[in-house]
Amino acid sequence: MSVRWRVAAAVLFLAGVALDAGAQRGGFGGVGGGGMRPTGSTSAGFNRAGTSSSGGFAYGDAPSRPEPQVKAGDGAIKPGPPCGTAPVTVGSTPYYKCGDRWYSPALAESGVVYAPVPAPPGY
Amino acid sequence: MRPLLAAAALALATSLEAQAQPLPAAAPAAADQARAREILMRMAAYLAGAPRFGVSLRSGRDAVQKSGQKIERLEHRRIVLSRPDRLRVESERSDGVRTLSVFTGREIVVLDATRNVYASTPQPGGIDASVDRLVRDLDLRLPLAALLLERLPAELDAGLHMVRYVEKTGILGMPAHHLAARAGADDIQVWVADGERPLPLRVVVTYRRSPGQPQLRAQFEDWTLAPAIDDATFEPRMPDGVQKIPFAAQLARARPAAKGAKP
Repeated sequence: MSVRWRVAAAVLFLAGVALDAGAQRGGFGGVGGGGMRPTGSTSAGFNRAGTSSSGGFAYGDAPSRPEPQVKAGDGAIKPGPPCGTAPVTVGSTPYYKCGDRWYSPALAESGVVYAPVPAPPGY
Repeated sequence: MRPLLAAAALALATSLEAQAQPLPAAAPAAADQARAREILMRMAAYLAGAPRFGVSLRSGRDAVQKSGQKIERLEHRRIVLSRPDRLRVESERSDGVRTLSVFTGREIVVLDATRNVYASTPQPGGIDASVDRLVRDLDLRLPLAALLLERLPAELDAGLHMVRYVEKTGILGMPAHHLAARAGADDIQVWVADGERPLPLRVVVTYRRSPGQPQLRAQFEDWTLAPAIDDATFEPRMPDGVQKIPFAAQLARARPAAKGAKP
């Protein structure tokens, strides 16, 4: 079947669906009202470890979490602890006490993040 | 009504067909596929068998916004690899962040030069195992990491299907084969240098199942199979005042063990 006839068949099919739907609504509504429904989830997300799923080429690229959203002023590097307290250094590690929680800096793809940790020895 | 509808549909189809680009064949001819796959596998074998190489990688990656708008994030990486277990990747992102990742043979060291911090962990073995540790365990990005692996031929052989030969082109500055393939949820395009050194010159990955179908576009520059390597190449010199911190992924894994510890 040529491309022309395939497209024609598809248009006919869709037109038929619309006519049928319209007929059920007295011929006025078409699909109407509900808008377009999602056709299925595409939020499978990236699989950073999925070598075989991508023939290898996506390996190491794809974050397993959604991309960070660009906001106004984004791009400025603002590393900072979760509260304004001064750090307590134990060994060579800085700890930040925010409320009753302790945080310590750690290296992630997004840069330095401050992760909750157990209290440092002696605290 | 129906004949009218059929005529309208045919007219619309004709109009659409006239506007459309030539459609690719549903499946490339077997000889075409075999030729394309053979070029790709030659590239894979060549890279996996190279004892050392250096290359620069300029890449752009779409960050799809909630609105659907795509913002391109750019990166430049300089890679030096020496098998079996040494790697140096200097990276600069378009937001100014500069990082250095090194496999010293004993450790994986990642320096965030912008924030003057670094983290390290014992290196588990050769390039393949260490790349896996970096990407899978430490949750860090290393675009096109598979091209560093000794197991690259097996990866491509198992993962790619519908490999097709698009065209031969000189648009990248040298004769190259433009290949296209499908792999699981992704579309892959690779431009492989023609001749005795079948090196990748450009790669485009389209993540078809991700919202907005973002792309990774990467251009390879300054390929060398005899990179300058000295004592400092795989022994990172730390800047003054640098602070050692753990990898966040390791901290996250250690946290359950610390459950019950004093908050």
